[in-house]
Amino acid sequence: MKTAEFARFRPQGFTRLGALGRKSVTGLGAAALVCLLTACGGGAEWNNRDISGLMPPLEFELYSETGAQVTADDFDGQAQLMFFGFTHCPDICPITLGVLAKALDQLGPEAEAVDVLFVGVDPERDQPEVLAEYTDAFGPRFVGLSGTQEQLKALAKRYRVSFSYEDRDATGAYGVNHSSAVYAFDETGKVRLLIDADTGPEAIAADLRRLIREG
Amino acid sequence: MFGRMGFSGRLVRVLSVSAGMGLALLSVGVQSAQNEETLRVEAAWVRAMPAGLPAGGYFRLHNGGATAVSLTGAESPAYGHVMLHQTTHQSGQSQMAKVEAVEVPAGAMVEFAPGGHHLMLMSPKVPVKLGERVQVRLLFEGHRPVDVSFAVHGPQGKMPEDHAHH
Repeated sequence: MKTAEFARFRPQGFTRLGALGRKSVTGLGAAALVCLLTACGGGAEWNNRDISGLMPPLEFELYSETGAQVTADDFDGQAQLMFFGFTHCPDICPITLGVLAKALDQLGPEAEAVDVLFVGVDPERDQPEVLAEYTDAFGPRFVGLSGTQEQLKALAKRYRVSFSYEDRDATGAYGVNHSSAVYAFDETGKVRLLIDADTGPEAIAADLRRLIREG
Repeated sequence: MFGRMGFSGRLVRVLSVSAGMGLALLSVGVQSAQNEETLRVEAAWVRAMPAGLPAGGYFRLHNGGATAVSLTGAESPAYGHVMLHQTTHQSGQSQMAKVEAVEVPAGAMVEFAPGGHHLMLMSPKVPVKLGERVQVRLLFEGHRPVDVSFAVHGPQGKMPEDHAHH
């Protein structure tokens, strides 16, 4: 049962990063290589993939769940988790957000130092008030964002993800294809981790605790 | 609330059959005698979402019969539209696609589970509340419809302790 819940959405792509941080690559040599390339200080391995320096710092122009135009500067000083999804997604998006919610629960008061940015890539249906209700279901640290196609495409390109829309069915409904990855940025906006929800709430909470404490 | 609607009652069944399928009435009666309890559904629950957004539906379906059946659709008095869906994952991308049918071989079990096959329950007719139950009718080829009561969970779903498996 537990395998069924998480096993099927392991991010498998990102071949350009593949040589660096896969969890399957273990041992001193790999750890040393990762540290050499990313200047990690603590020595211990992260539970999720360290992608420090491999992607640009957090930057976007979007609208928030309040309807206000926002940029990454509005979230400055906080660690950020960013996930691309859509509100008409009843399965994988709430599963992923639910894992993150559990991880934040385990952080206790330290969760105050983290924002979870849910970027709705389906602006036609991801209107501010819908985003607000959707993200509120996971806790106060969750913020819904979306934007114009141009804004969303720019953000997706920046983090090497893509999204696309399925054809509409007879009822007008359509599916959206989106990245399953969660990106973690530190309080200065530097990209740090590629989080796989399949690692589970405990592993993610441990990584976030370290990210918050060590920066 | 929906539990009192008598969805599984004979009246509803007769009405739904008579809506365009008068001939099928006889065969429904015959089939139900043949296929009594060959299909078993358990652990049925929906992930109800806020703001009238689509819910996910999950269950385990056992086919104890001697022949394969095919799950071809579902309907519910609580939702305007129900579809069979599957989440798939490839190259770091999640995809949600409509599924026309899911075959359950004789003696086999099919699981509609988070991150895989699921029911996509759209347009709730009234807010579906935590702790309630919703009635869903599973539609088959090779078997009469099966009415199932689904437990209602919130957006974070059923989160048993053992999910933290690392």
